[in-house]
Amino acid sequence: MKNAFHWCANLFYLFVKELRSIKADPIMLVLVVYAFTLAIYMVSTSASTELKNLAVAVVDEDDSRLSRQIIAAIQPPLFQKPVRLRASEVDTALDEGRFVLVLDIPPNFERDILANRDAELQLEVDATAMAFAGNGSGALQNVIANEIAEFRYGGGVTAAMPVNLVMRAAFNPNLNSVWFGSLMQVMNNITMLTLILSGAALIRERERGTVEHLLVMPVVASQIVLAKILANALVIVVAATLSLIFVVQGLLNVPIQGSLPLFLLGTTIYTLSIASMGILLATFSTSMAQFGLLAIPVLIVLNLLSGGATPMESMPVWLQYAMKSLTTTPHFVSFTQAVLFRGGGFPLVWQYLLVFVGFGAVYFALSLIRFRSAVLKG
Amino acid sequence: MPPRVVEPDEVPAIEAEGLTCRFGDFTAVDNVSFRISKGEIFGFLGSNGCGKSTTMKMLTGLITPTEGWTKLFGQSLSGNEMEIRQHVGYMSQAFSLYTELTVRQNLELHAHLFRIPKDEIRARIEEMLTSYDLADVADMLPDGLPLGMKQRLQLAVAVIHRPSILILDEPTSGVDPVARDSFWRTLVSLARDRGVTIFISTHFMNEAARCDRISLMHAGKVFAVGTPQDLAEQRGKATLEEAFVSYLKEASGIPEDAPASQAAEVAPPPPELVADHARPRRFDPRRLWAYARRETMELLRDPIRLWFALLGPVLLMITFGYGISFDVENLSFAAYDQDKTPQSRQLLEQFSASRYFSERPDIASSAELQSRMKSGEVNIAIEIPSGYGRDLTAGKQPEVSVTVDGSMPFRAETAKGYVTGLALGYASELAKESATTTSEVSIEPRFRYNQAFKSVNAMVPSVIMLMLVLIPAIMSAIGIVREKETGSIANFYSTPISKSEFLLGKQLPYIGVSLVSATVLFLLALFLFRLPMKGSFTLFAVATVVYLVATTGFGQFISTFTKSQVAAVVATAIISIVPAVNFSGLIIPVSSLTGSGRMLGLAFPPAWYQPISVGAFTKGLGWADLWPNLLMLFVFCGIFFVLSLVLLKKQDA
Repeated sequence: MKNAFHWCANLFYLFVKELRSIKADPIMLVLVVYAFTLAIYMVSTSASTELKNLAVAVVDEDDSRLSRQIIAAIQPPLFQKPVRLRASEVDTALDEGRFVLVLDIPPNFERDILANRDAELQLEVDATAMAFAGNGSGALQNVIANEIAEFRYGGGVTAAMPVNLVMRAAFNPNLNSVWFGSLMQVMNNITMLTLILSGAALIRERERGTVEHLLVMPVVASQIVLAKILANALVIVVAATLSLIFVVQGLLNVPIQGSLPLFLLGTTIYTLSIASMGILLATFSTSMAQFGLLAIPVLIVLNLLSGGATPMESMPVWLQYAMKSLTTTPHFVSFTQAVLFRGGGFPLVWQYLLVFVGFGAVYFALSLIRFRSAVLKG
Repeated sequence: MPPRVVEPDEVPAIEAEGLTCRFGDFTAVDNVSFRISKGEIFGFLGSNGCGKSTTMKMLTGLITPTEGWTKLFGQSLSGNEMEIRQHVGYMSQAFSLYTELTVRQNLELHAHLFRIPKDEIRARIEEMLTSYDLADVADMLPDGLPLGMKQRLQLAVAVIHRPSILILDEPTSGVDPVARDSFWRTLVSLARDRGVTIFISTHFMNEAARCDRISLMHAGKVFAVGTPQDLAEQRGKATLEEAFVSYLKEASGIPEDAPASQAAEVAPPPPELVADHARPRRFDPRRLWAYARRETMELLRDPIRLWFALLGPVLLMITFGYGISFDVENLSFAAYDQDKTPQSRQLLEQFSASRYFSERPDIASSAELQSRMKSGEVNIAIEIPSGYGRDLTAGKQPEVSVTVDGSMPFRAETAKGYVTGLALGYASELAKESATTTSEVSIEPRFRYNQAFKSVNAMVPSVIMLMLVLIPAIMSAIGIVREKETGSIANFYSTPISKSEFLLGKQLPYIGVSLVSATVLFLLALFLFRLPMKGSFTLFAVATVVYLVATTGFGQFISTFTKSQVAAVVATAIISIVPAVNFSGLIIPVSSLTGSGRMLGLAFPPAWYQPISVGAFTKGLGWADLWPNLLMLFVFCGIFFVLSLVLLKKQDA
């Protein structure tokens, strides 16, 4: 009993010390603030995979009522106002990346349609712009099909269809990518900053020799490690919460569907596991620079291959297994999407919390095993 | 110095037997034994690197001996470690307290961790502050304090819990003689008045002479133990110093009359750095070269940095190439079929036949539809109302509602596209059945540059862009900030090397290493990902070199305003990743960007290099198309160099 009390007391004093250390590093704090405010705002408003503002050019070799009708239907916000090109200019324009789509309406197109003859439209797609090429050409084909049906039957494509297809998107009716992007960015920042802060906290002590000092005191490695994990996770969870409330909900007007407290509970457990991972990585490096070099590839892999950037299902199966069995992040992405996007409640996501705890425990145990030998070697 | 009263039969405070410590092949400490009694000041005298620190670390339990054992107060460390640590104070060679905590906070932390009762802590700290003369600086950070004061603080911290054993590892190195003398008086009073056993290592003769007993150590071995007087007398020398030198010669097998100047082999600084004192401002490629060579050597000796520079990009490129994909497949769908007629089944068959969709068990109720969508198990739900078959046959245009999971907008958008395509196919199938004939209008999309429409072909050239900004910039930023952190930047301040020589000298090795990894990336693109090189290779090669000069220059620019390596790494990563990933065409085509995003992208080299990489690989472009981009890369090289030149300070700030 008395031992347990001492154990916790030591943990508490070390925890306070960690918080003071974080406070004393202004550059780090500025980076945390930047990452959770400006970076989120910029990334989610400017860059998105939402089809928007697509640069389109048209070569109108028909110059008929129908061709003009089609061109007039290519409109913002999906498309930029189409630019007219001569056939000879198409190659250069695509080479320069000025357009993603170039539509070629052949001569006599309208006449063929009126005469009920088969006709063909050419659509040149810059397939190096993968994010927009597929969806963009699909959307443009829809527009064209609609106009042709309108021209033929006067009622758009739906009038000609045998069924009335009503499509709606659940959870994000307008498929607004800011909703997705801003929350994913918050998540990425949680992962990135937690890993960096906690790892850096250990390296700083190693570089200054203070950890040696701690280890000759009646302090055990688990207290030192746990104090760092707790302190850094706390800072990040607080920053992420503020960011969700003031930047995501306030500034970007993203409605959060699910329960914020449930998300925070999950996030807290997740950050603890990532902080443990940060410590584990730090035991493999002797200086801050080395740590940075180890952490950056890890962070990029975590950010891009956890399902937040590309859906998990689109990756090779071996890669999915590797990511899901080695890291917590893919599970956190699923958790976040279930809670924040789809409004999933506790009964739906409690397994994720266990997964976070499991990963955290493994990382923590591994870093303890490595701690003494690694820390004292350097 | 008062004499020590020795009690007979007492348990030795510190005891070591046959202590040996090996690191691989290297024996740091070889079979060292000693017994130190309570209240004794026991000195370890020896040159740097002779094994003193390692011995002390074994005593404190920081290092486990390879062989032999130690006991403190007759107890071995294992088993009752926590209990013993309460009675030990330790002071390490370098200043090792928290510089971000004030003097008082440092004392507080140690008082708490040593479990001094709460009600005594305040008094104890005051006592320490007064007796170690720290009261005036109690609320200051240790960094600003003079060395002597820092050292008093370390001693205060080491004794705050009134330990019975003090282990001090070269505590006075770098401290002036006056401060050293007063430090020693404190030690003597601790030993004599409080009975504290002190184990101290030093390389100062006059300090060793003040110990009760000393042991002489060299190359991991103890070759003499005794009181300073005895040791001198045994050798027939007047002073301890002469005796030590004589012992040392014997141990190293050097004849007694040889000169004792082994240590005089201090290498003179390289002539390149010394020359030209008269005209320090003239650009001298030799000085530049000297810096470049030294940087290269350091880099080659650091496995983690090399790993990062060479293997990091390869690893990342492989993960990116295989892992990032815009090909949306395996969308899971489930039907809520309230009709269950051949007509409704025909509609659903369209979905099951598509390679983009995978079927899940049917949905039985709208509540189930909700919950399965929420869990993410079902991406697309198809709801067919009852009476569908009847209405369809009657030509009444029955309604089918399709709900797509919109939580990932890109995937949802693509899924909607697929569903529309299926619906059109279904319509024409029905049309064929009913035998009404209309002409076909086909829209033929031609996927230029990437006929197979595979993400890999589009991504890899852009990934090269990302890798070659991120890694070179971080490497070169670290190159300079490291020197700031370790203090070796003083060389730059004190030698006549100019700022431009310094910057270019530090930049060259990183351009070199990055070129190696760029070559590897290029080969990976060609042979692993099977990308064609349709455009101009020479343009690609030249542009890559210029791009690397620009990105390493960017790293140096970051290094001018960051003080710690970690800040440099984080700042470089964040500042370069955001524009490179979001605003340079990696994912979003640049032609779709607007406003601030577009400007932000253009303000960094990646947005200019990406068209070159994509152009040379997949688009088949050459000099005529892309020279303006190359020109801009040159401009960036200049801008970053000038900025670094202006911001780099030639003296300590």
